[in-house]
Amino acid sequence: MSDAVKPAVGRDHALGWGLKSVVALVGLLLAAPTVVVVPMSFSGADTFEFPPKNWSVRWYEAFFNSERWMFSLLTSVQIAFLVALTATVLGVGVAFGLDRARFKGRNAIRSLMMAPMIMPGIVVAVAIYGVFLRWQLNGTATGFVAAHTVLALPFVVTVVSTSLAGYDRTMDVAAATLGATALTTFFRVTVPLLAPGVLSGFVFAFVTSLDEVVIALFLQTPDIQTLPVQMYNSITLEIDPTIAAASSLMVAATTIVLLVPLLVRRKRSTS
Amino acid sequence: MRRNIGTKARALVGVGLAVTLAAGCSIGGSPGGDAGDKALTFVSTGNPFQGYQKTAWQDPFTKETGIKVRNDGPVDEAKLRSMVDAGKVTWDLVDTSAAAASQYCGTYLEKLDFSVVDKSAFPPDTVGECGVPAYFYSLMFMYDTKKYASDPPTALADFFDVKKYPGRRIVPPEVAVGILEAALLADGVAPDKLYPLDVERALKKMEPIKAVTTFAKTYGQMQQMLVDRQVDMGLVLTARAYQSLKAGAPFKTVWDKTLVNWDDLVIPKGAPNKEAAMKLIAFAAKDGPTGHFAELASVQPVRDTIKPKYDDIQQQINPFTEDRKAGVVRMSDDWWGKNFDKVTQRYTAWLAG
Amino acid sequence: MTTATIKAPPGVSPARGAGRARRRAAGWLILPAAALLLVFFVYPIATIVWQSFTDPAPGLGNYVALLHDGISVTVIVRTLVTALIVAGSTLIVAYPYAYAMTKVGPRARGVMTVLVLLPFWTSLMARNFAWYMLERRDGLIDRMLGLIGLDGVVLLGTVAGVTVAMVQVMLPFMVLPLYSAMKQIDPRLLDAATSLGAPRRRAFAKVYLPLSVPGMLSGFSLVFIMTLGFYITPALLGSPQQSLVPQVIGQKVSALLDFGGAGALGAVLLMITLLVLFVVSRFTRPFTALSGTVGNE
Repeated sequence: MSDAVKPAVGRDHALGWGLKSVVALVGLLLAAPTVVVVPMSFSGADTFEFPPKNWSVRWYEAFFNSERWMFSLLTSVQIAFLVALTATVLGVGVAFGLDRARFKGRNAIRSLMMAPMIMPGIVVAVAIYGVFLRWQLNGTATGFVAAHTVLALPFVVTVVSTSLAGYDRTMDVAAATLGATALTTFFRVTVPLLAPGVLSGFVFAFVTSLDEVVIALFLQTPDIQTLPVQMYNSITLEIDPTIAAASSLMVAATTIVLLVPLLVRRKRSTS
Repeated sequence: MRRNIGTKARALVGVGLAVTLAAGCSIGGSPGGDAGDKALTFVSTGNPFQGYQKTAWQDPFTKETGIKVRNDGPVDEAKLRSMVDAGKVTWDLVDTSAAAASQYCGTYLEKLDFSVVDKSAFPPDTVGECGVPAYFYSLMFMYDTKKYASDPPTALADFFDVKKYPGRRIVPPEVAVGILEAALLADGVAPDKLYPLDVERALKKMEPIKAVTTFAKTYGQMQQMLVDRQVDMGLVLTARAYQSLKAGAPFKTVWDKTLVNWDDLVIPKGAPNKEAAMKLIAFAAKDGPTGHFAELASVQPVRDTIKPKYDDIQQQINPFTEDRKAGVVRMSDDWWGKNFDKVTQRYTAWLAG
Repeated sequence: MTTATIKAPPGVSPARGAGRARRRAAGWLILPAAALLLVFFVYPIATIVWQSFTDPAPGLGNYVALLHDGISVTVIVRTLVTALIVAGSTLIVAYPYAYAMTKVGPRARGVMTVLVLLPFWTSLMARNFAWYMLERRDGLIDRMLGLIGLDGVVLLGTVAGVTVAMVQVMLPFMVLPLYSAMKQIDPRLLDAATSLGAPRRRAFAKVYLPLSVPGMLSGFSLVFIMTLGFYITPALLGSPQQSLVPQVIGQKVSALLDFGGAGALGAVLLMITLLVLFVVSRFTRPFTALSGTVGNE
């Protein structure tokens, strides 16, 4: 059936009250954490209260004035940036290789690339922790970047492969017949066409690293503590409302970062 | 045009590499501290307790010696061991139980240099090769006075009696601070017959409260839960009890039996700043810092010649007053040093089972 | 995850030989990533599985210990049951939601899609912190239930508390496959069944429900597998008394440095995961719905 017909038929049966209230409840469940964290971060009280009785930005001040929180934020952003860079470069290579090369074992490679996604996180974390202890990579930037890149690769490969699949190869041929060299074609034709996909991959990799806790918990030392680890420690060690501010900032940051590719894409399609 | 692109690409790669290298070099390092600074890493159980160690010990120490101290936590013996095993030790001074100090002495901990640390400053039976006491603390039974206003509990046994006293309980994250001892004392074991501990009997005594008890992840969490009245009674360590009461938690101690133990300051084997750590141990044992810390954190100083000025709240939880000190039961760090791993394993299994 | 490739039309290619060489060369682009995965993923996993057979002594000691230590079996069963409950609850909650998504107009559907993607976008620690505050004594949930006469419901530290938080974050993984399966179902089938005299409810059960089974199956298996590996949520919202397998693995390593024991338990978890994947892959492809999602626990 065509898509044009479906909504018309669907709308004949408006949602009943029962279904409507179920949907509302599920919506509430989905939104609950976000709805709670943000107001809590603007509380003026010393302890947690929801809804807050008076409002202030003091916990944001506390966050930005705390050496510890700022240090972990900086560490997280640096690591995430390196991970995004590495994972994007490697992932684009994989996507191209899988798309253009013909060889035995392509499916095996594909499964290998996706494996970190289905493997239970704790098993990966403990396994990496074990070998990193021996390689002395615990608590090093290299260790963090390597481990997080493993987790981020599947996202980059997926996103870039998808945009490669939609890429019209006759464009290359057209450029070639017009006298462009392979390199020119790559930079003038291929790159602009794939840029949105690559950008999405970069962003997903960035967010994956920024948000990762399990491996980071095992690899942390006083020298390197990422923001999520600092948040975890804050909940289990000494919980104060600064973490509400940190949480809200994390939510805002991931939302903004994830919106970037969407906006870029929209701009392209309208221009 | 072709060259233009090539240059662009090369420039891009160049910038990428430069950023990568620059970022790679700058990640990590002590928060705020320069790489050149010699900073000592001090590990304890978290604020505000650790904050008092900073005020009473670290800050005057830095002032006197110029050696900076930074803080990390929580104390985690397995982490300490893995650091030593991996040869990558980042901790210099660790506040840990005397049991752990005796168990890991020489294998995971540095032996103390007694030319720096004065042995005679401590009670003789408390000095080990790898650790000297930093403070004494006690484990006591506290209850919410609002919840049990009409019929307050009066004995340790009431903590284990969910029928008579229903409600949420909390116990410390470490088994070796006297949880099993409390269960055995409540079960009628005489204080002088506690050791060797009958672990199975203790666990059997704890079975009824297991479902209504929060086994705290950290001491900080424990304190938080008392202040927020997330629990109705608990076996609480002195320092955390003090903080909770000061923050307005309506809790009161039951003066039945009180378990007393002490913590050591130890140096992990291969610690990068062990000489400085040794100096801080000696510094913390001086009259001034010891007394100051006892007053701030509400613990007992290592020498009874030091008489801290306790405030009202600290008096409420001081187990060594004339009318209370008969209930004091000292724990055996010797037994714990030998049985720590086995008991921890059994306790963890019991918990998860 | 798509395998579709577009080949250049034959005969247009300037030099076929050169093209083939370039194709082979393209294969080398995979090498760096493959090397990274081999060193930092395959090797560590292989090592810990190997350790489960060799550390502290060669043999099946660690696996035998799982059977006899008195907790591992309990914990494994508890983990499987929890995963089943989470997957089941997610299905029940997601089904009407996904169904409604196929029924509403484009704008409402847009809002519903954004809502369902919200757990992806909310940082993992922020989410868990929020549940921590919601579920504790005198938290919002406790107070709300107090209003309707249910006093003292503290979800924090209970399996129920962990389940609620898991269901929330797993909803996208259930709603999306369900929705894409339901989208394919011709709504006129239901109309046809009712016009033939079947009561609407019966028509739904006999016609609609069976057609949505593929979506249910892939959603259910996806949620089940992912739930098995949750670590942070049970660690923060659960309790040691109700440990799940990932917590015990973490504890074996961080408290006892027992890599052999942790490896054995991890291997069991891995086997269950692969088994479920294998069985389900005979019927459906659960991971096609997963592409482009963020939020690794």
